[in-house]
Amino acid sequence: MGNSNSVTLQPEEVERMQNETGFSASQIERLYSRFTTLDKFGNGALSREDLLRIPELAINPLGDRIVHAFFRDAEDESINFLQFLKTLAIFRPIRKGREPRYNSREQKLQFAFRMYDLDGDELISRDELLCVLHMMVGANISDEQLASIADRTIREVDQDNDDAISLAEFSEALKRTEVEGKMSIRYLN
Amino acid sequence: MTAPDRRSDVPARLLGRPRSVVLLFVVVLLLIAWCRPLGAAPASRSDVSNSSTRPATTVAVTSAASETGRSHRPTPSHAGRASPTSVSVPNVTEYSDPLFRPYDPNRLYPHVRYFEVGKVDFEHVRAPFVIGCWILIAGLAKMAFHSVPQLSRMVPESCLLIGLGIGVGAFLYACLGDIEASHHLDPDTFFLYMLPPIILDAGYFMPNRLFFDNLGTILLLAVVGTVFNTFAIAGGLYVVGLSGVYGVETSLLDIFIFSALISAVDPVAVLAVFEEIQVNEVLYILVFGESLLNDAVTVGLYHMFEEYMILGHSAFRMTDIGKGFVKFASAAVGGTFIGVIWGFITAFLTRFTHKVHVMEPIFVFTMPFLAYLNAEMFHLSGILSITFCGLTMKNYVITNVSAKSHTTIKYMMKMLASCSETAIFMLLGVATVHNHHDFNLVFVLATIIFCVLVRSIGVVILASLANRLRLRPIAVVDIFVLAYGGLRGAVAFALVMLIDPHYVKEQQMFLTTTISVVYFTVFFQGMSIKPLVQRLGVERANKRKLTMNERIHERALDYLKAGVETIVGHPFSYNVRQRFKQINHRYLLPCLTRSNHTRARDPKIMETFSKLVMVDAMQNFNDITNIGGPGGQNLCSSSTTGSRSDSDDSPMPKDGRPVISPPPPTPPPGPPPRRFSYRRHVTGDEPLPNPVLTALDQLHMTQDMDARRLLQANGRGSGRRHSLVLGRRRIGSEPSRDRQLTEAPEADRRGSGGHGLQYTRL
Repeated sequence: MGNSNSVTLQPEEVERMQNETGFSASQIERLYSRFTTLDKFGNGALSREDLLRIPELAINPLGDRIVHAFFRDAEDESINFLQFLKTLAIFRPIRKGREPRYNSREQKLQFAFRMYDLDGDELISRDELLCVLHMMVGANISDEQLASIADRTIREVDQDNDDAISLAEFSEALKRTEVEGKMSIRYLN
Repeated sequence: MTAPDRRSDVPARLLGRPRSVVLLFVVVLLLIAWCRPLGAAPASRSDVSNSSTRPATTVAVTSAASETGRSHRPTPSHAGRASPTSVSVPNVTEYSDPLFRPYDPNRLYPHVRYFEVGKVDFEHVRAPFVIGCWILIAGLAKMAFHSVPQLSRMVPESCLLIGLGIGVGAFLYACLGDIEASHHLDPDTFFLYMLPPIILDAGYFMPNRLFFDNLGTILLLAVVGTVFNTFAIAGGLYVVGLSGVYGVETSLLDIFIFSALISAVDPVAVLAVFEEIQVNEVLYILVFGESLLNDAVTVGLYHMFEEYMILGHSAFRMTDIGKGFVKFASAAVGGTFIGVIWGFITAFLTRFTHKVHVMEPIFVFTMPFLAYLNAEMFHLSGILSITFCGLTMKNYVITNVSAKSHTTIKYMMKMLASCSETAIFMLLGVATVHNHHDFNLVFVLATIIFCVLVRSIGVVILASLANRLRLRPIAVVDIFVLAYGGLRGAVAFALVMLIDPHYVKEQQMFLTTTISVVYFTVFFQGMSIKPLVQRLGVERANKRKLTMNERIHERALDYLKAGVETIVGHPFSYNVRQRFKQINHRYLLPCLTRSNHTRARDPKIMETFSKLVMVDAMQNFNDITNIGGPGGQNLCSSSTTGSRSDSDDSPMPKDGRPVISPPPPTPPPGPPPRRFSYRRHVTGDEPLPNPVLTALDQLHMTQDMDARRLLQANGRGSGRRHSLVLGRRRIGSEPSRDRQLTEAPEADRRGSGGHGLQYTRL
């Protein structure tokens, strides 16, 4: 497994990726080996099933949504290594003193927003919120209570009264939260 | 309602005035002084002690307590049992005052020929009476302090208590003469009885998530930091000692023992001081967690050096260093393990207590105490044991016990902890007033300087190291407060008293130095930390109330992070928490909690929701009854901070009051919501402010008056009227029967489709 795959990275590709995502060369190598491990059929691209095949992701309540957010910008339902890297670059920890180009707070929030937004209209509607809530809270809460929770949630931040949460409202709701810590992965440093 | 207020006001006004409290206080002191042991048993202490003790002076709690097992009636043969080094005992039968002479069954009382109607037999009740008086003094002291707000704002409570202790000590010194320090604060009593409640309170109310998130840093500071402190302080003191400025000979091993106990940050002192300054949660948990976890290191090092001391200097081998490290690793791990096991056992037991709700608090208190004793029995770390016991059992206990038991547990824990802490600080003060101080100024100064210096260096290095690895770096001012907040306290004092003076000749000097260091940290550092924190702009505790959005989205972000880490293939990650939650949900919860609770995947969301629904309901109520602008605001804000749903009363009264429309879907009355962060003196049961109570009372009144008018119009007798009023009163309130305290909410819980909730989080 691992690096036994046919396509290895060329140095100029690595450098290009470095520029575009901010990862270091060794990290890119590491992530490439992970990419090839996940890529079962060796065609240089990941599909949704490849990701969902990971056992811990399958049991993650929001596993589907995470994969959906990964594949948001993908054409033909597969992502190549560069897209994979770009998505992961969002999760790099923000280092003091360095201007975050790929992992700023806004980008992190935007990724999280995409988890909720199924249809891609840049709005979290009530149904989308209900869906995610249902996944997170489990099956033991009655639908009407979930509905009232969803209603309340939207009501709290909905400033333009469109009964949906836009990205701006979403960011506003999370302004006290320490998003940088919650959405950063040390391994990617 | 002014009538009841006026009636209850008088004692409040009386006790609110500092003067009257002081008066009460003096009365109690006189009481204690009156309990002079006029025919006392000699101080038959079994441990060898250098200082001579006057046998007739044992007011102390502890030696009195140690005599409880024995008969209080001194017999002449008692004198023979006294240890050889103590002064000879005066014959107890020589007292001429018949009133105060204790009753001796072997004696004949020839002059007493009549039937004695009244007797004063103080000896019979001495021990519990004295203990009770000390506790009473502690309580009165606290009351007095808080009635003078200027004082309590400037000076932390611990300082005042020590000061008070010194005062009482001086008083007792004047009355009773010189008493050895250990008579007042016996190390065994301290470790076995006074320390556990404080630590249990800390462990039980510890914010789990925060603790485990920062566990790495805490361990780094606690273990590496303490070891570094010990060796550095020992090295420094020894090197300075080589130059002879101390004037006394101190061997390296003695210095090591001393530095092992003086380098540990004390949980009691830290809690006492940091409770008042309310810094941000990360800083708080770092200081606090460190002070708890370094107990293992301290225990290990102390015992290790003590063994060497007993074995003699020549028995020291290189392998012993390795053995020492193994010993304190085992102290830590073993203590934790014992605590966790006991925690699970307690949780399991509480599963079956639904028939005996009144006994539930007993389990919750006794079992952690036994865990502590169990660990101490094996010379493992008792503090770690009781901390982890409390931490582990909390989640399950909360879901298993009834709400009333939970309130009882909360209050009782806080009461015991407060009482214990007060007593500790006071006795610390009392124990300093004696003649046997060996104050070596150079040594004291050297110790203080080294303590401060080494701690600062250690913390700075370790915190910077931790910052490289942390996601949320510690701010620089926080590092400063971390270093500055390394307070020493009663644990060091008790440990130094345990040192055997036969082996360590300078024990008295160490004792005095420890007292000086403790005073320095508590007074100087304790008093100055508050203005420093304000001046430096340290981030304060964020008393934020979570909104629904924050709760949901933060949870979603957690899952997101866990998921992405999985994708990335991160070996050791956030997934530990997710995995634990999985195991918890699948195996632990079914085993340890009652089966009729259905398990929601994420109870915190429901908890926030029910809290917010209640805020809405209060707002509605407010609007309807028109309480008015500022009062209305009070209502909403305080109702969220004082989580009233802790008690059994449902949020809305159930009797025939006007229903607030539209009623929001009532959330299932789950287990009582928990606080966001740890506060020592706050239980979350603060009563609603007066506007609501007066409004409710007014409603009561108007309805009763209507009822009365109705009945009078019908010409019914008074008997019927009473029953109607009483009937209505009883519907809304809890059943007044004593034994059956808690069945109603349980029934509700089961009735509403079994929507009781449980906590799956650690």
